[in-house]
Amino acid sequence: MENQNEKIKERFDALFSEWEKVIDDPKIRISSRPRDYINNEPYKAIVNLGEVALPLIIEKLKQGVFFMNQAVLDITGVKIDHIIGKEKRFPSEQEKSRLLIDWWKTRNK
Amino acid sequence: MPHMKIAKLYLPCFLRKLFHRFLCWLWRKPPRGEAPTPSQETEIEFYFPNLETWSVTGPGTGDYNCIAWSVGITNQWIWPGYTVADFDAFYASHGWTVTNNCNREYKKRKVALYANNSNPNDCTHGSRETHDCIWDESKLGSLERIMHRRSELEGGYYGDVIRCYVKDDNNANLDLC
Repeated sequence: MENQNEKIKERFDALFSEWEKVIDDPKIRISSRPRDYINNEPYKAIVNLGEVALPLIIEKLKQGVFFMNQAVLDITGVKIDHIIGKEKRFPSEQEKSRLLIDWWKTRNK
Repeated sequence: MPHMKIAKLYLPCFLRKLFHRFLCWLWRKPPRGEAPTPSQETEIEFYFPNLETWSVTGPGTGDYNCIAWSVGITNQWIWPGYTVADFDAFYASHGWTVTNNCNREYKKRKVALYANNSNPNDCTHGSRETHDCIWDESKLGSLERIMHRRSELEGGYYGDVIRCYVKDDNNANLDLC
């Protein structure tokens, strides 16, 4: 089991580092649209890792990598509207991360 | 802008206009910010071929983006959606109303919304008029914040302005009295 977790972490770290290289392109960095940062192969591969990658993705959210928000939503099928309070209509990506981290804590209680 | 307040207090309208024209003449270059470095010029002008007169008013950072900047926020990354309706609702929640007039107006400030191929479902960017004499400021994704002529950002990576939003500002464009 531990060996399997290590393998998943290795795979995740490799894909994450690949993704960071992809989004370091000025053509992407000049964009404000989250979809321009996540519409690439390494990101899709991270999502394809599935539930096993969630703890690692949540760690990235805690480190401020808010473009990973969508990966959590895609893997879990959770709708962001369901975890946003009605009083907050246009949450920032940082706020979405905080909400997802809280949601994750509640789910794993 | 203290000089504009002085003009407002002491000068009748026609003198205010003259005074302001003089200031605009002085501000043929961006009134704020640092001149771009050669590498910034190469990188940014590649994506905005019409950009000629501009300055850097803030460093590159992933802490905030253009839409956050357009409503005065510098510590959040905000993207309300991809359609004009999403942006209308977002700007309304910050007190900005839709206007068909993108020109500068007396005691008003504007935010411009850009879209690719003028497609209202493919919005790309927001810039805010932050200084008289038609100067906007834009945060370019996670790259620098720049001051520029609004028209000079058009025809590039963000497409063209498709809509504007307006808000009252008692110190804005006083020469248009």
